[in-house]
Amino acid sequence: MNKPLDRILYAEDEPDIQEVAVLALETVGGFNLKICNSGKEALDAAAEYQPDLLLFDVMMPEMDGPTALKEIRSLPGMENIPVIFMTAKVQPEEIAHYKDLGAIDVIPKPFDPMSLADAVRDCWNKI
Amino acid sequence: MTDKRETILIVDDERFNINVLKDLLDNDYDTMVARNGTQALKRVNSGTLPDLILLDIMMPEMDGYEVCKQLKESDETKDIPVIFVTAMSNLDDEMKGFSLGAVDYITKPISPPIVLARVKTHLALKGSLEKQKELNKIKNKFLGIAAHDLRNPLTSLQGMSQLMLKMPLPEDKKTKFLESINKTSNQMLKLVNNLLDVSAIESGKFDLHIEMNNLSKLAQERIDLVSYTAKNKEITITSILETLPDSLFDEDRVGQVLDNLLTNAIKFSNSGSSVTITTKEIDGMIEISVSDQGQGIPEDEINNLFGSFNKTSVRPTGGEKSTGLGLSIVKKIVEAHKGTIKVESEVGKGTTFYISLIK
Repeated sequence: MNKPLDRILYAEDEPDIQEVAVLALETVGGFNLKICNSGKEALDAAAEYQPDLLLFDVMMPEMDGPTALKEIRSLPGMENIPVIFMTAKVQPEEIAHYKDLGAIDVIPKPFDPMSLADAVRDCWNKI
Repeated sequence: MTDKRETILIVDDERFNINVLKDLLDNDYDTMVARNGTQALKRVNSGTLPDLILLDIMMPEMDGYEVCKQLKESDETKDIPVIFVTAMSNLDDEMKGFSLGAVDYITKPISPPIVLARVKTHLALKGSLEKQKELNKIKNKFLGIAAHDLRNPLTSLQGMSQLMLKMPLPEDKKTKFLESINKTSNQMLKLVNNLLDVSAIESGKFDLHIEMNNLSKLAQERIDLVSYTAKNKEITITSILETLPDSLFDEDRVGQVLDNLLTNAIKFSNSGSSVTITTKEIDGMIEISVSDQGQGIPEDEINNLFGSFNKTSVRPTGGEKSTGLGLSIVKKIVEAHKGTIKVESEVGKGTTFYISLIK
């Protein structure tokens, strides 16, 4: 369907993981990234940044990924914004739960930084 | 076995038989009575689940076999052990009883000591089965959390090393990655060591090497070890250590307790604040307290403070990590010494942990 994926709103509270993902998505993948340290920061940035896609960690302080998703989807024009969760909680029932919340896919941690951008692009092209 | 008295449901259509069993059991157990099959099912489904059922077979309307069959069909009641008590003594009847899921078969006229012994055995079996199930549930939850808590640091270890191998990175970036890899692997080692401690404690293989030691001396040694970290965060450590008599404890394990409390206090304190360690003799016990002026712990989280993987909503002030296991290990070590631990905390003011050990 889609226009090529460009703008990703990325939320992750762990600085080391954030650093790996930013290299993987910006330098390797060539995406435009808005980096947030919590769900709350992502919510505050969403309207102005107008992302194509949300890429969220699940467990974050202040506001977790699922809550931020819900809040962002209640913003005008963002009702159907696609989301991918990146998480270390990858038991089958947990993945099913994230899909129920509307995730187009779940990328398990640890992820391979060299192929992360491709994995995200594949998810995007599936929509 | 649980402390609470177990409840036994006696089902028989003859009052005399009921009375015999009731007299026999009333001393040690709570008893409930049903005069027929329908009443028995109603009793069982009306709230109080009995721990065991003594079930007559030949009853009007609904016989004992049918009652047993229905009990075994429901998830609620299928684990209640059923013992048939009956005058029907041929092998086929007995086999039918077992095939319907009964755990035992007693023929009338009953022998009181045999009934008591079998009831006791089956209650004990049920108790240990329940305990096994509960432990298994806890173990699975524990494994799930441990796997999750190891996956996160592995993400940075694997990601950073992979990038260093596959991408041209500037030198300063490489150094930064190496420092992170080193820090993260230390953190993982701490988690693994904590997991092994918890596992040793849970399986009862937690040997203490009790010798005469001095708590104030140990406290000073452990304070020296954290003073560098404290200084880096601009936190002052004040120690008020009484001269204490030597007492019996495991120096390494109590040292581990002090390390935990001291690093926690530093971890959750802001720069410019102070951490105070006090030792004293009080009421024939030796007490050590570690007090900080940190963020404090919300009241509703205090109760869960000592559970495994129960991290509070309070965040470390300098980006430090928690395994969520430290305080549960601390409590186990203190209890293994027959000591006590308590905590006082006020949000915005700080937290104090008190540990009392036998003198």
